[in-house]
Amino acid sequence: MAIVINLDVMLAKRKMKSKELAEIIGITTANISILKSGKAKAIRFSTLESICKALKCQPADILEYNETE
Amino acid sequence: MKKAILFKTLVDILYILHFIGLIGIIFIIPFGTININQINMSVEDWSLFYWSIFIVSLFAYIIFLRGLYFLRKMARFLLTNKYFSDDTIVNLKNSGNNFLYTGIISFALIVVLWISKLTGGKFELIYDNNLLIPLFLSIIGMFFIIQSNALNLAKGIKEENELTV
Repeated sequence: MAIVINLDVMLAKRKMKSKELAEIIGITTANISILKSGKAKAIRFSTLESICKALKCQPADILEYNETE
Repeated sequence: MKKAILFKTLVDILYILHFIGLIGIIFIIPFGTININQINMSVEDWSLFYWSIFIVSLFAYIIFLRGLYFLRKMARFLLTNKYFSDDTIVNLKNSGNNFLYTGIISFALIVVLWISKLTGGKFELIYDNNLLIPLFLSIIGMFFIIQSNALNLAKGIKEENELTV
């Protein structure tokens, strides 16, 4: 897919573990790993909002459009 | 779940009965006691044309049995609640295809027999099971094919839903 998820980059920048993020935003670690691995087909606005809130970032920091992929 | 068990049992019974019937036909032919319903002629009087009709009918029957076999396989997956698995979808489609082919071949045979009678100077129009069963089989076959397509679409939607975070 042309949309790349840079969640692992943001997690590294904020020095946060996936498990911690999952606990803060209230989703399972399995879903976090689906997001990180790029297997996710869609993301809810509510989830995106929670992630942005937890990581103190913008949606563009997490989602990126890559034409070559 | 109870319905799936009942469905599987009924399909199993139908398959076994038909299989016994096929073996029966093969063993009965040499004794010459078999006759084709629409012709009312004992096996000794069959011409090459009627023998070819019989062989094509037998071929259609084997295709029908193949359809039942795929339906049986599909029913096995229903018992384990795998409604959206590839196996269920593929077996349902195969079953539908086989039923549809059986229906088409059977209907074609009826038409061929009708034409042969017509050329022999007999005009016959019979409204009975011989006409309705091929029609019903074709409808069931088509329905299974459409149903398998619907399951395939549902599988895609389900996967998308499961991968929405």
